[in-house]
Amino acid sequence: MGSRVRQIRQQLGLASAVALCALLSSTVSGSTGSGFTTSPPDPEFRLMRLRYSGNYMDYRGGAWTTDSPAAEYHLSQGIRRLTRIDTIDPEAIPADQLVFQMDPLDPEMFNHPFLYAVEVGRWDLDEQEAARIRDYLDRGGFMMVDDFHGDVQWEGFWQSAQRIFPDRMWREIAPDSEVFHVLFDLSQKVRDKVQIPGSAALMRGGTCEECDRGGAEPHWRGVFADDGRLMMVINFNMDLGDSWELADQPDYPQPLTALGYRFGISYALYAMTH
Amino acid sequence: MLQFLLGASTWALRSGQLALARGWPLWLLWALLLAGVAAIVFTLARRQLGWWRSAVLGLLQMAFLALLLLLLWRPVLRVEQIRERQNAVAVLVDDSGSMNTADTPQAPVRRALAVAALQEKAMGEIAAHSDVRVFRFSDHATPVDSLKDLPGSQQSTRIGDALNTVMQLAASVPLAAVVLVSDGADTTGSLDEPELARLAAAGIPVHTVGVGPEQPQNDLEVTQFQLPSSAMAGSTVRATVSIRFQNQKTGRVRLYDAGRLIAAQDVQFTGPAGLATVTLDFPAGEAGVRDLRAAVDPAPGETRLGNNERHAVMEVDGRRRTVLYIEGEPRWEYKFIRRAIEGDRRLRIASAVRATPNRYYRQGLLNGNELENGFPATMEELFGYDAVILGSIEAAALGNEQQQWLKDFVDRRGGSLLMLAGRDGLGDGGWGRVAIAPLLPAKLPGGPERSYGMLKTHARLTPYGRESVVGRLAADDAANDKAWEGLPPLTDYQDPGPLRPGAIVLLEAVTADGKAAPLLVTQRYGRGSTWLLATASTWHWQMQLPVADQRQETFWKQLLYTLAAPAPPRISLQPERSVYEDGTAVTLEAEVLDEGFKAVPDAQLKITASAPDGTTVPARIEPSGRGDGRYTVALDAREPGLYEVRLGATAAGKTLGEATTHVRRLDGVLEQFGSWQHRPMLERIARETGGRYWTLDDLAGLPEAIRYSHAGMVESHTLDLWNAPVGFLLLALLKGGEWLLRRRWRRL
Repeated sequence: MGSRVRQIRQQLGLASAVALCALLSSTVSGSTGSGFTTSPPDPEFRLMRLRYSGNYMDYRGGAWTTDSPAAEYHLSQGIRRLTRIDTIDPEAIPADQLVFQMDPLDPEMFNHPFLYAVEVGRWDLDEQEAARIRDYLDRGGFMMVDDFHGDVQWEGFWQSAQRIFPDRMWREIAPDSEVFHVLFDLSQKVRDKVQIPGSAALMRGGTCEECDRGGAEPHWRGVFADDGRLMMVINFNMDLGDSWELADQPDYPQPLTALGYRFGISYALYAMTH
Repeated sequence: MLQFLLGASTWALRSGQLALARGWPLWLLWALLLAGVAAIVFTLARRQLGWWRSAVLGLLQMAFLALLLLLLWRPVLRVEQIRERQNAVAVLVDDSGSMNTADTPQAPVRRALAVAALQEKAMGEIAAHSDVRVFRFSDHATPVDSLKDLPGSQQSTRIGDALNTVMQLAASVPLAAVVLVSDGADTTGSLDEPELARLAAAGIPVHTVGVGPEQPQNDLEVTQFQLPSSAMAGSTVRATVSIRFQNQKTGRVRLYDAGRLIAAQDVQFTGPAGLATVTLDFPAGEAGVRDLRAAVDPAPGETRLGNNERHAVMEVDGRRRTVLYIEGEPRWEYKFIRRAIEGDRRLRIASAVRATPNRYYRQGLLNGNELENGFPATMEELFGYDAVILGSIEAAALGNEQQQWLKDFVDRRGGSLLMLAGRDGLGDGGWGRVAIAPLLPAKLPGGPERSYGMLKTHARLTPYGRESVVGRLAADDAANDKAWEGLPPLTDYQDPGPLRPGAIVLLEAVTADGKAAPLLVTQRYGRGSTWLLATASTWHWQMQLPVADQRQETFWKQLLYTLAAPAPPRISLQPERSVYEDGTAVTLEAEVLDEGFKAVPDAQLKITASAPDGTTVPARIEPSGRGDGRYTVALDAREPGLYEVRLGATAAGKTLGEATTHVRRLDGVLEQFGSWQHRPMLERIARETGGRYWTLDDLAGLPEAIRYSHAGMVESHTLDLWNAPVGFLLLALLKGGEWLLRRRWRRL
């Protein structure tokens, strides 16, 4: 009987000691963790297509979707392979989620500071949309426009772009500008005016579209903030989207698709560091 | 009256010894008393009075018998009295600044009140029996001819030193007592415990006479004015001002730099009296010295204005601080942190972001060699930075040696380390298992479970955050709270793990259902500090708010300034305090370190100290002797004003660097503060030395108290007490009482 009582006493003593230690430990250490439940991290970078208004509709549904989803598929793989930028894994998400589109009036746009607008030669932004994009860029967003050719499309582009930048003017980006050095040295390609063609030009055996109407020579133009930050990169007379989309096509020249990747990655990296 | 009844003065009774002078044996007294008691008991027992009536009558009879026997044995009082006209009495009158102010607008100054009371109530009688020596004292005691010769000074009060000086009189004349007339405010700490023990050992009673109100009346006093001794140019500095108040409701505190108003803040006083603390944020401005003064506006009718302000000196360091930011992956937080301080002339972020698995993209560099491999090549290069930010980069990206450098950077160099949340940040990056883990304010989780993920939370200030410059987005508290409440949500969170005991949480992440967890945490470690920010989505504050809204920029600027500003330079010169009030001995400490922040114990130092008038003041330099690169610099700053002290350090013919600091000397300041009567101190002096505390209204007994002093030349007296009226009166009362009771009980 006596030994049983001793045993119970010992057990009680041990339990008390453990409880005391636990209490002291929580008192001394303070918080024992947040207790929050989080979901897996979203990709840091997404190629967000601007679903602008005013452009024609074609059989694909909208000009802003040009080259999708193959462009997204290939570019995101290229970004993942060549950089440490965290972006979507196209193999891991459903195909219909590859393309990420955004209306300019959607406040969600401000959660993704990289904006891609394609075939902007015929876009027609209204004042409200233009103001929203201006705000987006002023706060630190970055915009890449692509795949428009010749003087007529330039005029169409700049007409709306002027609504975004009523008090700014575009200018040629100097070949030695930082955006061409952020990862790859692209300045010589810019100097040499290496044109990244669209598939239509390639089918005609050249690299330019609207060749005799101002589309022969590629231009890397930009609109800059007051502090010199490049806010909008304008790929005029070239088609980076096709170079990404057609990366797995044997008839698209490999050096040009590689160059298209390099420009795209450089823009992304510039946007994420400036 | 009392003296008539007792047959001796109260001071004689208090200081003398009682004795029985008849010479009859004491046992006889006890025997007679016992016999008497027995007879009383026997007699009363035979009467049928009832027990309680018998007890009352018995007690009265026994008391009568005991008193009668006591008087027959002739009680006397043996006292010592000072010899007439053969002793000196020192009267020590406080003539310091606090005694030369009036407590109400129309009243005479305290010194005048004290002199009048002494002359009217005590001096004449003391002088009739003793040789009175009058002294005035403030920071030292000086003999004067009479109480009229008190000019009034603004100097500090050194009660201990003054008493010591006067006690030395005892070596040449018989000193019967010291009378100390003061408000008891020893402003220099000269009356410490050893000094009190020495005074008590001298055996001379010190009678203290308290002057002035025991509580401050309608007097606002700036009790403390605190701010960092140095600040970074362009930063925001927080000053803390404490004010003692009585019955006032509101006040206004103003901050001046060399006479120019730079900040002001209203303060509410709650309760009838107490201390209120107000914080003022002000811009440190350009490099140089800030000669600051914090002043509270006078209350209506306030007369004592000298304590409404305090001074401080702050060095503004013009060194451009550099923050090293290592980021493991391109991400938006990186971009927006850089943008927040873009164009800042006083802060540079040198950053390296790992753009590809083996290439770092570098920004904010001074030259092409900086961070060539994504991290400083040497410890000395790392120590050239003032703070380090580690982003989403795994610990394994750095070698063991670099990990150790980081530890030394915080511990020895005194830099700050901020770690950000991220896929490879904090615990998920394995930072909980490397050399710097013990330095961090939380025990980072190290299990297989990922601690970083997406979660919508709001940032909320903790009480510590409210007190910190980091948490200051708006000038006043209410607007500041509102500014934080209005921030867009954060989108990610990383569990920092259990906090360490010394950790301070400045910001919390709060979920929609009200759960809160640490967001920005810091702790001191060694000479530096470590910080954890459990998010990497503050960039949403910039993208979600209008361009003109500067809250994201302000938060990061203030955080980076707070990180970088405290990093000490290699050559430093720190005064013991920036303002010397009523004291001329200025002490500074110099520290000399090499590029690796290791002590240089054999440096040659050159000190140049300039007085306010431009003349050079000699300075003494002494190494600490511990080989820690520290040196003590001492100078005698006699003239009030702003002193500049420059230090140049060389070792083995090589210039190590230089440092400059400033100190302000002020006179007549201490007496303005804490100037109410410190009665407990005066009572303690009296108690320890065998004297008594007196008020000005109660001085009539002082001469008698001095007459019965044990010190000086004394003579013994025996005072008869048997014939004191009080004895006979008591006998009559006892018998009368018994007679009345018997009559009432019809037992006569």
